[in-house]
Amino acid sequence: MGTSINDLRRVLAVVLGFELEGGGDHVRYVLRVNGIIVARTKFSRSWRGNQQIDDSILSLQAKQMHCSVKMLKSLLQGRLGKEDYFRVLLDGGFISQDDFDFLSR
Amino acid sequence: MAVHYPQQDYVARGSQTTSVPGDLISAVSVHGSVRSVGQARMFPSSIHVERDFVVDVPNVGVVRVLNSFYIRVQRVEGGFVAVSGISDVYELGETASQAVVNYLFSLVDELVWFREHKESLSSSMLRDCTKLQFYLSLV
Repeated sequence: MGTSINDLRRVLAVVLGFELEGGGDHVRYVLRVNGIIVARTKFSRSWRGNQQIDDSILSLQAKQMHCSVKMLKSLLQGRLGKEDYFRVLLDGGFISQDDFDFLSR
Repeated sequence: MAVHYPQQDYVARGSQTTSVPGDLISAVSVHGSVRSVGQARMFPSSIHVERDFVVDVPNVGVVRVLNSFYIRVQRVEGGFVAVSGISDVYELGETASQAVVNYLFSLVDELVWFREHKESLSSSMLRDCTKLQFYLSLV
């Protein structure tokens, strides 16, 4: 079973706590810690409705999120949670330990 | 030259002193300093965006290329995707030209977004911003 845009939206907003940024022509989700943007991901302006996303595109989306496509798939399947993702951000130097503790609460 | 899209009008133009671009991105600009590298109809393919190329997106911003870069276009399910080494954004299109145009639009949008959020970016996000600003500048 493939991944739909709504699946991705749900993981970003509900599981990981990304905020949807309104306005403009692009859909962008940002992850903030105490007002500081530590990660963001942007949807293609060509996406319409709830279309399916193939693996090659999912890989590019994962790159924007600083994680592997394997991790993103696991998040989408519910096999991994937000703490696993924030651990990857911590290990990659994208967030501090304080950020990790805040995000993982 | 204006290329019309469902969401927004889009204009790209280039230096008058540069050559006519390759056929792959002919929809982008007739006079722009953008050209395909190798055989345009073979994918994946690279598009060379030369210095001083200008992308003008009405109501969003105008960007000038400070340092040349390549846009890589490849086939994906249902169309094409455009990526480059200067940013982690990507864009899709039903045709290769659409993907390239959408990608150029997306880079302008990205640069404007960085400018608007500069005060609230983490250090790693600021590095992404600095990298993009090495290649592109808002006019």
